[in-house]
Amino acid sequence: MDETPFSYSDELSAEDLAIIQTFDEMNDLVIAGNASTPSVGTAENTAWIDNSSAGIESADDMLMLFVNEAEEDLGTMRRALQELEQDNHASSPSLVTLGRAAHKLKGTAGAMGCEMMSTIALHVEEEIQLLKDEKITVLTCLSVLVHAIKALEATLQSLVDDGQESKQPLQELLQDLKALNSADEQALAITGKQKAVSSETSEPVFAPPAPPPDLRHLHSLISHAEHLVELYTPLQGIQKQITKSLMELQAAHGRLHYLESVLSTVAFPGLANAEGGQPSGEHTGPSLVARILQRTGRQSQARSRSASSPSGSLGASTESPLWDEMEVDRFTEQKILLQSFSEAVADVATASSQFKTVYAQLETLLEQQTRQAVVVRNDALRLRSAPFGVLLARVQHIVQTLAQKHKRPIQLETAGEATEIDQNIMEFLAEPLLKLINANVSDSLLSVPLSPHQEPDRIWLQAQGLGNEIVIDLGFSMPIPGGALEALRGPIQQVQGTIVPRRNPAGGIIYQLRFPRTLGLVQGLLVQIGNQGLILPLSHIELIDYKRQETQAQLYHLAALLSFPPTASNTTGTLPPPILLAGSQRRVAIQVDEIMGEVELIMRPLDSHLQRPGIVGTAVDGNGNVLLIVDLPTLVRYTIAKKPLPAFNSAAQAEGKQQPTRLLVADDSVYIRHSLRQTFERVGYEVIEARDGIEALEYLSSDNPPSVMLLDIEMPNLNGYDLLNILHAQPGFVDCKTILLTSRSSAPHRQRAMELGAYAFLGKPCSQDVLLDTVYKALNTSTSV
Amino acid sequence: MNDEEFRDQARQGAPVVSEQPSCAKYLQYTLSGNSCLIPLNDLAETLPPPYRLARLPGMPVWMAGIMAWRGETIAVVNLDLYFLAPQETDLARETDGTLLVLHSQSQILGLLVPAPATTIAVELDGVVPLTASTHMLLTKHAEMFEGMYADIPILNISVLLTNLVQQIGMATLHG
Repeated sequence: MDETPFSYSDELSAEDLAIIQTFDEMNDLVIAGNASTPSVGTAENTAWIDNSSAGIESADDMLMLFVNEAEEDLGTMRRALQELEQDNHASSPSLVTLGRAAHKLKGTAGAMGCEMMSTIALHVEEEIQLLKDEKITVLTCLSVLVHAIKALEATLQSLVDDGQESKQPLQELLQDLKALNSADEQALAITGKQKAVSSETSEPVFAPPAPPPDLRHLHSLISHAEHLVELYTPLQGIQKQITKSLMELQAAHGRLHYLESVLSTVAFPGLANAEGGQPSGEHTGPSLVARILQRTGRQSQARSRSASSPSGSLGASTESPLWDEMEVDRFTEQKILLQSFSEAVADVATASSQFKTVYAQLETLLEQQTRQAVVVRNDALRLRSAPFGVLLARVQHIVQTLAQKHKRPIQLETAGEATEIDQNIMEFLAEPLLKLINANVSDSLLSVPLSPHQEPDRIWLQAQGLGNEIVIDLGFSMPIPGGALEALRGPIQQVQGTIVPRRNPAGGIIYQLRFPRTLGLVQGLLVQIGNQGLILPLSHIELIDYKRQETQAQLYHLAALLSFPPTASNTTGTLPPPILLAGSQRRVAIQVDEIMGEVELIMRPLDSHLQRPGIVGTAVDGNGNVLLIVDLPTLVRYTIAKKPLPAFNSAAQAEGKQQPTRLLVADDSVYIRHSLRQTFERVGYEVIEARDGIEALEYLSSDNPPSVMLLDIEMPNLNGYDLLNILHAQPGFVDCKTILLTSRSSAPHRQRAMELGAYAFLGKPCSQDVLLDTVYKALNTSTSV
Repeated sequence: MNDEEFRDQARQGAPVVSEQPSCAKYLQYTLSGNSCLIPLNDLAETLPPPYRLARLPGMPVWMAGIMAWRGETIAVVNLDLYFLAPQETDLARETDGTLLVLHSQSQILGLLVPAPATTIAVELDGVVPLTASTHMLLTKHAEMFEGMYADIPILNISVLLTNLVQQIGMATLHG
């Protein structure tokens, strides 16, 4: 019997050695305050089992929980192994399922103190990694896995029967491993490096096909552009007419002015002389019309005086009117001038009227041209679009393939095939979306065996356009492993979109993806901070609270968020209604100095040195002003992350004057959840449990959210990273501290978690003291560990 | 006279053109009593006021703002503040003067300089390397200048723009 350490220790990573060392240390760990209890597994080594007389669940119950979970994991591994035997290549998705199940079993067994099972599960992980690294053949890996699963089953059975693990299955496995790997090395040396069946020579599964050119859009663009060009000729004609009308108007005005001056000289010579002998062309007295009226008035008065005089007769009067026997008009100079003057007035009126007519035609043409330019612009943007049906066809192909492969019916419901989506956006999202569907469905089908009366699994993928946004719903009726958010987060951010998961009432999960219809065009709300205009994308806004009903929302002034100096307009006076952020399960509102209205502008990205957190780009208005386009959720999250949070008052809690602090434990393992509940309830915390990320999110969004969350990574539907992504993206969850508690304790996982805003990162298994201390620090400090 | 003879005669009669120009144009402006030269080769455009500047979060004290220029968004720096007050002070951002749009190695920036400025022709033979000087600008920012002409320092636009871009980009880390 080989008691020496495993010969593959050279290939164990530092993480693996640390885990094994921790197992060894757990054997010597004595939990303070616990009475001597009958142990499970190897020794009194588990930190999770508390058999004190406080009325908490017994070790047998915990053992049963563990056995049930282990059997489920083993079932998953067996099914995945069968798939791998059929696929017989290193890139089979069943390897992922196998690895995941082995990893889960390793963590749970380690926490339970079942060292043998944990070690065997570790070997399973290592063999899978060796296969991925092409260091062993597929055949060898299959053989090892078969032996390993048998060893796991035997060890589990011994645990159930005898109350402790048998060492024999592990030892036999080690011997088999040694033999298998040495034979494999020889085979590899003879045949050379054996390449796993890959997609190197065959067509890549997810290579996006080149989108067919949309001739319809192109023809539309050409046609509308031609119409726009055709408008140029009438526009030129109108401009000429306007020039001509203006010239005529000017000429008429000139003639009128000239006649006015001549007429005033001829008609009122005395008046002109009396006013200082001004030249005939210049007069500063009353206008000609006024002088005519005055003269007419004087003449009327004179006639009336003469008519009333006794000697008023035609014959006796020295001023009798001239008698024209022929009644022919006399064309005196004055009369001619008057006639010319009236004609000049009429000419001015006519020219003015013509000018107004032509100007109105110009305005009409300009309006037509502007409308046509907008149509051409939209056509150009639409040229980049493709119907959603292009992506649906590929999804249908994948689903059909999976259904045939697993011999299970899968219903795919689609809608919105004709919805137009920017091709760039489609390229960003297509590959991760298809991989997600393929991986999740495969994993789910392997994990959940088909029962005879089970309803067929359903997947739905629907797209619709809402204003300037496209909304895609991707739903699964069956539980799926988490990771969707992690896979889609980067592409979604690149297209300035959002992704929100929610539970499907009929079971399963729905992911809702929202992104702009086209890149580059932003529809937003134009607001003012002082004299500066800014644009808030409509996709970030839920509503403008005109009635000011959302009194519970956290209110921030946009100037403060941007670190702009306060201006007079935002410190006094009546402020406009606050703006509520969309997509936030905790209400957040933004205050600005003025709301101008909706705008649609082309967004320009900022150079790298000008980029700032919360600023996605700029737009330029018609006056040449630069308008910053603000990413409100990012800005709020970035700004308030710097603020200190209220401290936890432990003294008050001990006196019982306050409600116990609420902790949330999110882990798919029943055993882990129960263990943690016992640990924390013993010291006075209130503990709530969540089976997956969706349930955890529901608790976080409630009216009484927890203060601290202990979060596992590997969970179905919404895993730990998915949930951290959501919390990181929404500013309403800053108050809840997240502590990752996972068996994936490598540096990349730690770094990833901290990047996503986790407060602390603890590896399983973790001692109670460390756990309690970390939670206490999280409740009493405002900075991350 | 055949064509070849004609060409020979033309070549003999044509003035000799030197490969390199003997002088270059520079813009001279005064910065708090200190003169400074900016090469016109690096000048893209001169803009008169008023300037439509927008504030950018986390921008340095000596930065006047950002503006749109020919479809691009560029930063505008007040050169007076940059050279004279590098510390964080509560100085008002002056936007008077002339705005020079300068470009160098795909970097474009706007510089606010006091008006008026004069254009002078500099004999390149008269440009000498920097020497130890009590010139205020040289004592503090010697790396920004590439030489002197008649005791007037000549700005190295490439270095200046690179430094400005770098400092603007880093300002957000400390803001």
